[in-house]
Amino acid sequence: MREKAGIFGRVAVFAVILAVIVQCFVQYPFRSTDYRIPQMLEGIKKEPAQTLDCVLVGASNVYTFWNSIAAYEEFGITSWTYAVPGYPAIGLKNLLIEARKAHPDSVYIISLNGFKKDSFRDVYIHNAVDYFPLSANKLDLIRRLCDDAEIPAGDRLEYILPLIRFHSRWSSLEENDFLHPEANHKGAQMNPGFLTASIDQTAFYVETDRREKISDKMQGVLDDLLAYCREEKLQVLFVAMPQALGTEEAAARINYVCDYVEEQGFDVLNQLHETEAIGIDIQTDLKDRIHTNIHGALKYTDYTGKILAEKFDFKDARQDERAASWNASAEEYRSIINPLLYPFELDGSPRDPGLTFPGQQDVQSAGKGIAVVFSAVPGADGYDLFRRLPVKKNHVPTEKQSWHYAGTVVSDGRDGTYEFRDTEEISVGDSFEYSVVAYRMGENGKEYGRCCYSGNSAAAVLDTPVLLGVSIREDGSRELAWSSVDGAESYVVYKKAEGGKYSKVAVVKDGCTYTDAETDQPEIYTVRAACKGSGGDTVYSDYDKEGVRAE
Amino acid sequence: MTFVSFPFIIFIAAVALVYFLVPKRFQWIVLLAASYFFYFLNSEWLILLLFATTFVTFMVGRKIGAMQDAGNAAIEAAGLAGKAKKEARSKNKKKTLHVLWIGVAFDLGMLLFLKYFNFFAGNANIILKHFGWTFPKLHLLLPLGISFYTLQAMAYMIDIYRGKIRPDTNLAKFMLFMSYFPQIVQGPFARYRHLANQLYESHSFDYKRMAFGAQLILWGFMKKTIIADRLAVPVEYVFNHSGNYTGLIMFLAVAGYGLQVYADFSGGMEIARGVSQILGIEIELNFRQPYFSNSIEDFWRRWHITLGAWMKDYIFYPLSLSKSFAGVSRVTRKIAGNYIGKKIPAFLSMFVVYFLVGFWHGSEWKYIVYGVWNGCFIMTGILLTDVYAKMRAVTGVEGKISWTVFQVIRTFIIRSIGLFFARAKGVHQALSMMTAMTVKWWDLSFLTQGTLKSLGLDNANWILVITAIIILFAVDYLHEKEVPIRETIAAQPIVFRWIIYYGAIIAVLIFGIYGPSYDSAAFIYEQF
Repeated sequence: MREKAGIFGRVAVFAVILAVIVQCFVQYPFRSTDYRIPQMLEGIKKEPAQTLDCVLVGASNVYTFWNSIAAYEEFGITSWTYAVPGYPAIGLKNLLIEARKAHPDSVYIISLNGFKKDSFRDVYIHNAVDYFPLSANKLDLIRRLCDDAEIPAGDRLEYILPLIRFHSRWSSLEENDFLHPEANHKGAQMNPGFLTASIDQTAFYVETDRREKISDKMQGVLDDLLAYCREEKLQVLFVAMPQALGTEEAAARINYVCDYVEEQGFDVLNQLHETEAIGIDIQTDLKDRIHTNIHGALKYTDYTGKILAEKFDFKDARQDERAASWNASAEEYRSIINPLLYPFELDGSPRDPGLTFPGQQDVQSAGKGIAVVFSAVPGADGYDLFRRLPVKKNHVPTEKQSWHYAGTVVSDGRDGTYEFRDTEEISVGDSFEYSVVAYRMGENGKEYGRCCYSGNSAAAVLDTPVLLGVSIREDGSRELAWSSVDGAESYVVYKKAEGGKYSKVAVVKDGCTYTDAETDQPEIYTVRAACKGSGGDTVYSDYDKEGVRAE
Repeated sequence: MTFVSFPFIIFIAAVALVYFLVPKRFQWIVLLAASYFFYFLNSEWLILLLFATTFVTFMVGRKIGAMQDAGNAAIEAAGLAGKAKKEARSKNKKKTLHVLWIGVAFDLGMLLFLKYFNFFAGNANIILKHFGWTFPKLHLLLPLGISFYTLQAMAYMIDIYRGKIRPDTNLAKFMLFMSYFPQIVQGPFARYRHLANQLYESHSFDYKRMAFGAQLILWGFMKKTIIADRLAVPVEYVFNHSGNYTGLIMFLAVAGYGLQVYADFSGGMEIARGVSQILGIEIELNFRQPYFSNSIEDFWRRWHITLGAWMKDYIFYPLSLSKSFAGVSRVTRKIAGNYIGKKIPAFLSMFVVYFLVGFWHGSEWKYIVYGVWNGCFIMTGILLTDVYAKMRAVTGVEGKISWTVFQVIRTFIIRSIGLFFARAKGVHQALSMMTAMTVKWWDLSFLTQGTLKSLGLDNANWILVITAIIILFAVDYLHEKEVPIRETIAAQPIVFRWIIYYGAIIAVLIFGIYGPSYDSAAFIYEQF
């Protein structure tokens, strides 16, 4: 008997150690690759209990629309976006249960946007469950999602052991898979797409007053969610965030859900068609149809934060012991997002969404400067030009690449194009990206219109010298002449034999001619202008490749 | 539920738990229930075909046994002795032979119809279509392991007929013998006298046996998921795009296929043996380091051992010892002399054996050519035995390690090239690939031009699979040298031992090819 117990014990210990190794160490780097998920789902547990005023739950729209750092800075609200990409509405209750384990007394803001559709892609189940600790709630979530996606019982183990699905990634694992950089930004987003993308979604933005009943299945899910909120006596607010949904049906379903929830006695903010009031520009403030970029997020948070601050009697966190931690996070987060924002966004200048952004902006070199040509905006009193060091597409600008005011062009009331020549503090070789924002003079100064969050760039380069010809002097020597180039400090003269390669023959610092006494055979001449560039090195202009021929 | 799946692991654990928890007299019932459950999960209502074969085989066995008993009793009662007794026995045997034929015809007929009907019909249609008539192509479903259990059933009836075993008296127990789940998928071919009693007997739990069994299962998983299914990727690519390649890469592809099949098939065997070992049942060894063979004949003694043994006992000996072959021998000795003439009947039998080995693998001509390819090399080897011996004596290579290495490599090359027939889509493609292999065979530029990476595996995966193959051969080498690997591990301190186990499990979990992100390949021999 003792021997049997010993064997059983040994097997049990082996199994437990194996489970610990697999659960805690081996499968950790193999969870889905989206770093935002652990940042949001695990980060919330690191916040001290009773310190979050509100928690927003739902799918990815939640963390792109709401920015917890901006809400803190503006209103002193401490909040957390407890949300998962592609999260299906079927699992909202489980998300709520999980969030409440860490912060039971917070106000819960629940996104209703997920009710626009009836089904979801089963790959999203991993996003939802991979970061939940093993618990009855996790198992219930797996059951609900798998039942709905009709995943056979035998194939469900991968949701408890994500390693089963993701082990094929072993050869592409990188440092971040092990470290899971959980930047201390209180769940505020910092992924490059959110920070840099800006895509016009006008074609997909649909408004409707219609209400369309949701399916019986989704109605059951909604009723179950409301019953849970009621039973637990949760302080909740339901919201529908503005999205370019693409179809009228989707918008009509969300309208229906908002009405229904309200009828059930809950508070609802249906913001689906409130883009104008919020200030969200469908042309520039979305990164795709259903997510804002950082600019849209700041506007949404500013608008909705005001409502929350008025509705709930939150204590201003900026004035209590929470401030230290939140200030530190805000400072760190600001160092990431501030380079993306225009000076007028940073100082909170008033905006005039009625002014569109200037089209057909052309940026080109103009000798030692850069010229920006843009078309007029109706109603604009003038245009402010901003420049920054060029930023590669989809790259997040650094502090050095922040927008700076470059100059103003006052409107003379005409249509057509305006030109701004930027020469101040520009050396040859400098390259800048420009953006033009129209403004109207209001009571409190400039009210800026809509703007693009990227611009066109060009470098200041020396013009190419124009070769004027070669004349033969009496002594048989040749005199090469060329046009003067604005900003040139010297000229480099090259020559070559027919069919050969150019070689440098002289540097001319004064004048625009060169005399060549070594003239035994026909030769071809060309010239480049040169000057000291912004980095201290010599910068050369282009040269006439054909050159000028001397017999 | 395949062998390489989490449900199967849970299934084994559950079966083992129940098996050792129930009273010992019910253990065989647990195995029977588990086997039929496993079979039903994989083949659903085709299980009825398994049952039909089982039932007919059982009844035929009983009938032959009863006839033998009645015959013996009559001889006893008549008090016959000497020649009369021999004649009476011979008469009885003839009677039982008719019953045996009924059983063989049923079992074999089922196999031939389900697996080979379309092959026969297709070939017959080549002629029949000229007369305006053809057999239709039937969409027949093949029950899991039919090639294995049919041959097992035939061996059972023949062994009863030969008086080597007594017929089983319990249909339910016989059902277990025919359906035992670890071996029904891909063998090994079990002999009744070796397996049946082990299945029916009770077994006590043994920790050491369980640990050893688990090690075998783990090793099988490693072979199958890390090596076989990974090698399948570049092999499939080259065979699917064979027109794009020439030279050495062709040989590497077919050699890779050989290693894939070895890791796959022997991996499946390790799992079957491991599961059985946990339950206290020893099933027969099917592989004995085949890649260390010094000739093709030696290879087939080490590869799929139980198929070779079956062919030897039930095809080769009956044929070569038959009266008609004795007649052939007399004629050939007269014509070709004693040395060659004596060998021709044996060669004929051997030809039939390897023809059938090929045909058993699949209902296509390419498999028959594959079998014959191997048979031809074996026959040539036998025929030239004396010549080779003289050559060895002259060159003085006998017993030298370099000679052994040469033999092993030579066998590897011949075996691999033969596999073109097994893996290609048909004989034509196999011959084309063999021809392409000889074009610029010395060109190694594919190693530096990124060709390997274009075959579906990145650098990390190539390094992994090559490392795993080296480990596989290292283990085989230790087995060849009769180093008791499992015993050596078992003798280590628990910490070291467990580190090895955990390492192996984690290696399978991470590096194995399984699960939804892979299109997991079925065991190759499952399809036979």
